[in-house]
Amino acid sequence: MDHLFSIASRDELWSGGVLLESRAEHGQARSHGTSIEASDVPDAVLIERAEARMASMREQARELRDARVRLVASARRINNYERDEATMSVTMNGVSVVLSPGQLPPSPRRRGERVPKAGEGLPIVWHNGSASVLLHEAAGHAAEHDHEPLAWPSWLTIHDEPDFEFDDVGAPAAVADLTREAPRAQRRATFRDVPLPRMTNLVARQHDAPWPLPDERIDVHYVAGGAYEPLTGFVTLSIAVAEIDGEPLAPFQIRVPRERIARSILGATGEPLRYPGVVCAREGQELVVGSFAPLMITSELL
Amino acid sequence: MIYRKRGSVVRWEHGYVVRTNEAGEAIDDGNVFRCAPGPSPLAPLPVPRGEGDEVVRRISAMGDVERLIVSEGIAEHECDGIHWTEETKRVHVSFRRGALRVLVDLADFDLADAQRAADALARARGERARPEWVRLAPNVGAALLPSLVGTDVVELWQSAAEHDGKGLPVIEQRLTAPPWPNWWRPSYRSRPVRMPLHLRAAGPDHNINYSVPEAVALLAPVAGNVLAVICVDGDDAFTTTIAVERVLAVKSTGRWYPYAAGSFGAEMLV
Repeated sequence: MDHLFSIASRDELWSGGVLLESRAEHGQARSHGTSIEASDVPDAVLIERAEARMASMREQARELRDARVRLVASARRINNYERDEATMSVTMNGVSVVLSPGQLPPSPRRRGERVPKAGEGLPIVWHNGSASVLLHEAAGHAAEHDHEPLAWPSWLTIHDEPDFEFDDVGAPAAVADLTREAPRAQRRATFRDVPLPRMTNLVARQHDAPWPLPDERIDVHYVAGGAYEPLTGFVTLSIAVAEIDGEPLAPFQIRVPRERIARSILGATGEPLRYPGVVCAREGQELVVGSFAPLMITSELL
Repeated sequence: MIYRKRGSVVRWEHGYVVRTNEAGEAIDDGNVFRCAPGPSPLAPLPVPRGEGDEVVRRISAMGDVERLIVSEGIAEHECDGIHWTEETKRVHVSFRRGALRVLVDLADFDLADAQRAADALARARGERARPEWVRLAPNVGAALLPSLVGTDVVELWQSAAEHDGKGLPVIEQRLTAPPWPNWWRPSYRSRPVRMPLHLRAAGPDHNINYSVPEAVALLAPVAGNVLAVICVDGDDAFTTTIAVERVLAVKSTGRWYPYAAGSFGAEMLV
C-alpha cells in the first residue's frame, strides 16, 4: 500500500536523576509497494508534539534518584492520521518496568538467594499481569512467525487489540486472535525501518476459568525479559521478582517449549491486569507492546 | 566535541528496498551526549546503486533464508575539523534447516563464506562431541576475536587505520588491557566508546593442520569463548560446541569482518 509515514521522537537516558543522553530524531518514509524512500525531513508539528510530551516525564525522571530511566516520546503521522506515544522505562534494583507518564514505579523488593529447581513440582501464580509476558512469547511471537496454532484452554482468549485506528502503513487497525493468526497491524520503530506485523497490545482474558489456587507455589511478580526462538519454539523468561510462601527468591530462568506452556495453564481469575510494560526488540526494532492478563496459574515450568 | 555525519544507504530487508538519506550531529560535553538530525548545506550524497539486488538473488538461491539484510552506503564524517569518507557494504544472513540456523556476516559481497555455510547446513548430520582439534575458518575466527580481548588465549593486535570514531588515527598496537586508545562510533546517534578496533590475531602459523575438521560457520552468536559451529570433515558435516581455551596456530587474513568494532579473518587451530 502506498503511504507516507512521518515521525518525530525524543529519547533520553537519565540515571540517578541526572540526564546522560538525549537523542532527537525525525524523518519520513515514502513507500511505493516494496520500495521505501526515507529521509530526515523535519515536520514541525510532530516535533512540537513529541517534545511537549517530554516535560512531565523529565520532572518524574529527576525525582527517581535510585533509578535508571529511559524516556521516549514520539508523534507520528501516517497519511493524514496522527498519534502519539510516550513511555518511561524505569530500572531499579534489577527490575525494569515500562510506565506511562505519571505512573509510579513499583516499590523495591528484597531479593532472596534460593533458586527454584526443576522437579520441585511447584506451580506458578503469575501476578500483576505478568502472565501476559509468558503469552507474549509463547502465543504472540509464535503468531508473528505464523507457527502452528496450539490447543490453549477453552476459557482463555489472547488477542492483539490495537489502541489506534490506523497502523504504520495506513491500514485500518484490527483485533487479531493470537492463538490462530498473526497480528494484523504493521509497525515500525523509525522512518528508516521496514514495517513488520507486530503485536501492539496483548490482552489475555479468562472466561469462567477454574481457579485451583495451591498452597505451595511460586508467586511471580516481575519479569526481567523474555525471548522466543522461532526455530525450536522454545520460550525463555528471566524472572526478576518472585517468592515462595513470602520468602523472596533469587532471579531465575524458565526455558520451555511453547507447547508445554499451553499445556501448563491451569486457571485464572479476575479482569486483565496491566503488566507494566514489554519493550519488544524483534528485528532490531524496539516497540512497546501493551500487556494485559488476569491472575493466572500454571503448573511447574522449570 | 562536535561530530557531524551525512550519508546515504540502500538496504534490502524483508522484501523491501529502503533508500535512506540523512545527516546529523552529535555533541558530547563530557557529561551529556546529545544528537539530532542536522540539515546539511550540501546536496544529498547519491544513494549507491550497486550490486545489492544481485547479492539478494544469489543468497536466496543458496538455501532456506530465515533473515537477510544487505546494505551499501556512503558516509562523510567531520569531527573537530577532521573530515573523512567511507563506503560500506554489509551482509547479514541466516539460513535455517529444521532446528538449525547458521549465521554469516560480511563486509563485502564476496559470498563464498555464505555458500560454504549453506552447503554445510544442507549436509549436516547431527551433533558430535567436540573433536580433539578443529580448524576455525577465517570468518569463524574473526567472529571469536572480540570475545578474546583481555584473555591470554591468543595474541591480539589492533590494526592501524586512518580514522576512529573521533577522527583520530587508529594506532597499531598489541592489545593487553584497557583503556583502549581509540573510539568506536557506529552511528551519530551512538555515544562513542573506547574499543579495540580492527582486531588481528597473531601467532605461529606453521602448525595449522588442514586434515582436521573445519568449523565453517556459526550456529549462534559467540558467547564468551564458546562457539556453536557447523564443521566440515571431508564429505561429512556436523554441529558441535567448542570452548576455545588454547590456540595452537593462527593465520590472519586481510579480509575485514563486521564483528564488534571490526576484526580480520583468523584461521585458527584450536
